[in-house]
Amino acid sequence: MNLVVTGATGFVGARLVPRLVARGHRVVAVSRRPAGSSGAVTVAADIRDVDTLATVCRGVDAVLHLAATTGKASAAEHAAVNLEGTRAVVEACRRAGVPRLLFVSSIAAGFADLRDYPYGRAKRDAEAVVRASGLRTAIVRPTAIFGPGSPVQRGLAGLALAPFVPVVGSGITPLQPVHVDDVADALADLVDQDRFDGTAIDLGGPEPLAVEELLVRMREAAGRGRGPVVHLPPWLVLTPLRLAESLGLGAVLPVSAGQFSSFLHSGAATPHPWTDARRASLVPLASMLAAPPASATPAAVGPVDAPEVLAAECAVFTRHVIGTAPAAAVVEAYVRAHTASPRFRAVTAFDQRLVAIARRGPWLARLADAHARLLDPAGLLRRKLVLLLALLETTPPHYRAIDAPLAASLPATVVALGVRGLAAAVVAALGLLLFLPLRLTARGPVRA
Amino acid sequence: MSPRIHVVGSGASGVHFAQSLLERGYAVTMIDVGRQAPAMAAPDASLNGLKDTLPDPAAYFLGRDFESVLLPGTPGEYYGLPPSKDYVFDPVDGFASTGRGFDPLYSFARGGLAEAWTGGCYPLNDAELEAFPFGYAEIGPHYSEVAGRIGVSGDVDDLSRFFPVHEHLLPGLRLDAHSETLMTAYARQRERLNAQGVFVGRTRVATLTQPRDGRDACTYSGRCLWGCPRRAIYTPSQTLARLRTFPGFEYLDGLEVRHLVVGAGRRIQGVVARPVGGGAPVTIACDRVALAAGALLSTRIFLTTHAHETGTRVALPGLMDNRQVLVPFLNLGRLGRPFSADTYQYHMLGMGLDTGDGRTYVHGQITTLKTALLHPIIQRLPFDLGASTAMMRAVHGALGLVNLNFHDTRRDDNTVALDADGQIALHYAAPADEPGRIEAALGRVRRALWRLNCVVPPGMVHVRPMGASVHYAGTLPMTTTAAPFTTDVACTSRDYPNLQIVDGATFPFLPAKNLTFTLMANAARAAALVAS
Repeated sequence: MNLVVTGATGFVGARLVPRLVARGHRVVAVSRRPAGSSGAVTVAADIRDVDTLATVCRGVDAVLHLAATTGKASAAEHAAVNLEGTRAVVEACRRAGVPRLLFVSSIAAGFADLRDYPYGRAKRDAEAVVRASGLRTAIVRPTAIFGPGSPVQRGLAGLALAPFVPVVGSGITPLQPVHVDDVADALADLVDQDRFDGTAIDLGGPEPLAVEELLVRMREAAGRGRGPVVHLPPWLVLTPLRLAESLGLGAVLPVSAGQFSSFLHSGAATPHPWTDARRASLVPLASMLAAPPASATPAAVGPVDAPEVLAAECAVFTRHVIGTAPAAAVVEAYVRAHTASPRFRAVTAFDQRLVAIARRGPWLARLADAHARLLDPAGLLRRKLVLLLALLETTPPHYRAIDAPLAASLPATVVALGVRGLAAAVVAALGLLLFLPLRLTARGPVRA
Repeated sequence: MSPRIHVVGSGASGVHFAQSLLERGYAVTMIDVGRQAPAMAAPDASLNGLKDTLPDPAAYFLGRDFESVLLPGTPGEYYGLPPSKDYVFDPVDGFASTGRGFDPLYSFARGGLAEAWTGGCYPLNDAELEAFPFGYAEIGPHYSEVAGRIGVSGDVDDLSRFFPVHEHLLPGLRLDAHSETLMTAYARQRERLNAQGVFVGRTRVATLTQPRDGRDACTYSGRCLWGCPRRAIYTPSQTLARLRTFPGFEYLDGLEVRHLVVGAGRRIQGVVARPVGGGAPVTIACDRVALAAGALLSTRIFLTTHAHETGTRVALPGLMDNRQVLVPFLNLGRLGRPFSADTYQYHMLGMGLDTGDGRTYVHGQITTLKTALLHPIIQRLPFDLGASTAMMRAVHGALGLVNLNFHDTRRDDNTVALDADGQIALHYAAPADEPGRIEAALGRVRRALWRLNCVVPPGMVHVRPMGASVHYAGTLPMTTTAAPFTTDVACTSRDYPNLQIVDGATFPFLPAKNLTFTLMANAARAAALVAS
């Protein structure tokens, strides 16, 4: 077939054009900044330039309209490119007598509430324009598209790898990431099968899952453990963003209110026989999340410290955690655990340095611990301290101290909680700052 | 000579199926991997007594290599299972399974997964049995029969509107102080909560409050989680020990059943099993077989059998599990109050949410925090460990957890199949309306807890992954109309006439209540139908 692809150099377009060429189609790749060597004829054009587009489309069997603006563009830009641009493409098809139009929309077009989401609104309205075009149409609504270079995956990874995983709302809203290659294959198949029957098809990945679970899995895939998840009420995030956007500050914000819509509206694909039949062959989520292949050898771990060093460390850390000296059984088990398991040895240079500082005294241990809790929660210092706490809570006489109430009455408990909380917050702030220079300088793997 | 039935698996379903058959004069051969529990440490000691008297308490509580210390950054769902129960989940060599959207647990232990259960026993009512080819009138007597065997304690109270009352109900366990506080608050708020469709009462648990059959009544030693040394908490391995006193019972352990041999008329002629210690597979000739290896492992045996017979691979739809949502709460009235370690540790109270439709009832089990390991919780607080430990001491006696269970339905997308290596491959996607149902229930639970003087700390609710509740069901459902890959009212396969599947695989619907008691009653019911 003779095909025109708009947005040909975009995230999906760049994967789609070579597939279409390989399947024997003659492809004209339209984009504002063309890139060559895909085997397609390239044309530099703005999709809103109806005259140029109509010329390009003459004698064409189908137009595949992928061009769009995404991310935190302004509402006006979304309307201009995604809605008016689509109107222009439809007009060009009419003038050139193109019989078929495939429109790549978005799962967001179906969100129930699009007040904050100009992108979703523009896609929804553009779908209406396509439907009313009188052409033979196909509308495809991909879910979050993952894969190398995926902007949405990069954005979510930013959240997943933060010290806390911030989740807006309950986190149970489903998402169904799909790999960019699966999207490109599906689009090429729709063309080959001539499925221009006017229906809208949701294009999702193999596995819908809750947004919180997705973030946690992304974090795990990056080797960071499950990490603490903090649920933020939607108003807390959306109100300031809306306010800033209404003041015209959208361009300088890291994220838009609309982009948080995926936390609140189902991004799972509606089942469809055509997509269901393809599901078994889709790229699994685990592969999408997999970090670059790890080296075959396990991460090097530092040496085991001498028993007397570990015993002294145990004494300091016990003072930090419960304010007393450790029982002999605790010290013995603490030293034994270090010999038995590599989990209590340093992996990074920062691990080594932070522990070396923390073991100098209970107060340094407290500050280093507060820092690690916030910025390195799965690091060596926290692993050692959690091991110690597990030993203390199972060994006499310490378990009795840990089981005893902090204060004897309700008012005394409330006061004690307030005082401790305040002190802990001050320690956290100090610890956070104090060890930042070390964090920036002690980089890389453990040193022998 | 009495007819002999070969039963695969010694879990909750298998042992009660076998007992009902043996009592009716049948002979039973049970084939099982049969991993065994380690010896019970110091049976007379209380939980704190163990800490005080064991030579190496850390090894008992945390494992010889400290493997049960939950370190930060550990991936996967935390089950809080102690080293003494590791054997329950110890896989056989070469076993693997893959899951998309489903993260299951498997057991090859004597007694199966219920060796690590928390004992909840809830009969299903007629609304919940609507999709089953029988009603409460048919299974009710078997709930009573099983209750007589295992001992179920509880009470007839506000939750009885959701759980039919069967015979042999023992008096309830002694409540701990926190649970009593909750019940006192509930008594004050009862009318208001009931008007909102929220009911609180005692859960029914398979824990003895009176001695029977050589088992002691609960002594409140606080060791529930670590394995009851008094055997007051029922586990299927207790029934297995009893079965071995029947002359017609034969127990073949150390064998992993891989598939069945199909002969003329699609009749099963043999069981092919692999010795777990190594060696060539053995074939055990049989006249009649019952699969009771647990829904997923029974399904694997069924699928492997079908693949050997027909040369084709099928995916069985309808996989179900209860979604569980954990709702921690802080009882403001209990701040600063001590807790007693010498108490029953599992749930004693339940919270039922009436949804207006008996099938979608939401079932909550309320556990108050007493002796569970604290380091997995304390490390999550956002402060240094010293401050976090002090704060935990302030709130320890006030903490509790509601474990909400949601029903599940059979859907075509949720499948169990075999991969190219013959291993289990699962696929599960939650229904579209699930987030809405969870949100609605969470709102009701938060409001109800507030009326009981409790707050739910923000950001602490945890939606567990599918597979975590370990209530698997639905792949070979009992139906009234005959079709391939279904079973009839007696759990007999529609594909193989002398094969029964007597575990959760045959459930056509999964209500919110823990299914184990119904597994046992249904197995007893299926055995009675065979014998009749």
